[in-house]
Amino acid sequence: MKYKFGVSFATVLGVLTILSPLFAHHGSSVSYDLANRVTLKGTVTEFAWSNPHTQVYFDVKDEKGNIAHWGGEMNSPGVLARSGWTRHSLQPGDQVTITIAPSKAPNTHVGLVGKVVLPNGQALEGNQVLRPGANGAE
Amino acid sequence: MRKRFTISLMVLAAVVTFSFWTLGQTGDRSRAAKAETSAPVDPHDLSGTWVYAERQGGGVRAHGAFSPDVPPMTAWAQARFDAAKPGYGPRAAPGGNDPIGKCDPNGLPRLLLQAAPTEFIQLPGRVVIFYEWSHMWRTIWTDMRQLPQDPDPTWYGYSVGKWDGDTLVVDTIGFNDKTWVDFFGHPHSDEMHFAERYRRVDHDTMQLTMSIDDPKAYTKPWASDTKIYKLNPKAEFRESMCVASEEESFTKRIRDRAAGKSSQ
Repeated sequence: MKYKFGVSFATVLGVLTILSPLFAHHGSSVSYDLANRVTLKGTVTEFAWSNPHTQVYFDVKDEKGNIAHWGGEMNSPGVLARSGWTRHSLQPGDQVTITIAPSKAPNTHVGLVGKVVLPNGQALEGNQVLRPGANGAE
Repeated sequence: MRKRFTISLMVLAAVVTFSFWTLGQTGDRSRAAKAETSAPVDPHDLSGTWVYAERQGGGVRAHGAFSPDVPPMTAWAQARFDAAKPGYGPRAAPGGNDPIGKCDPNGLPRLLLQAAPTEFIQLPGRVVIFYEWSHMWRTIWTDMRQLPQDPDPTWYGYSVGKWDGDTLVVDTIGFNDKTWVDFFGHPHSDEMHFAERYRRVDHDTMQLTMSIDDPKAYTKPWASDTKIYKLNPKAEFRESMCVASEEESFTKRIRDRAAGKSSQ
């Protein structure tokens, strides 16, 4: 069954199935600078697997030994599960590399989580809007 | 020469056979799909799990808009609209005051502008509609009762439905004025008369058009465009609740910080 623009229904349904929990975002993505992501190495202090915003909290130490306490927003568990996440994917103490779109407000240490490299080397996407090839992504 | 010819013929035969086989497979699948869509269906049967198939508002991250344009607002509505700080659309800004951010109910029509699945269950005298988004349900009374005369204002109002040919016409009144019409901050008053028209056009497709009649807020009736639902029997509802304590924690630890509202 084809729609006007030749997109088959299955594709539309597939896209919407991925997107529908995104609608639970309450529009917070407007707070983040999606074009200027940073990649940080840190230690997980908390992984809150909750609906509609999963969060990861992690500490990043600089060369001088100062610790910045970061908080990252991720998609809902339903969306994350489809790209390989489980509630067990991160534990406090895990060493991770996180690519994050920081807030537009400066020096908040809060952002929208993109790629996460887990301790076992596996890389997972934290937000569909930041995955390679997504709208507004590079 | 003869051996090569024989081999070529065998390869050709294999290729041709394979092509017919795969073509047959595809043909079978599309024939099956066509059969489902054209399967006989009682249009007065809206039961099933439906997924909102039409994308509105332009773009992957957009939410459904009620219609492409908005009728002129009254002064009362304009003041409400100006005070609303949404997280979506042209007026989106960090740290807004969207009431669903503190888990207020979505209300109508906002609940219907979500793409998450819904399930229609028809019972004698009523249709009950379940919404995955915000774990909500509504009862549409179809036992010929009238709308109440002076209903207490509620988040979702009081709904009655009746069949107009193959269309279920639903009328709802008795709203409070605490919800937004959509994700962009458009208001409605407690005088809103909200109508929905559901029509199952084939086995897999249902159309919905809506209208808002709210003279306290809009100087003209506001009609929606046509929303399309598709039947999806495999869709299984997830638990999708807004939990006030979790939203509050998220707002404090992430949302407000991201908006530069607190120092940490």
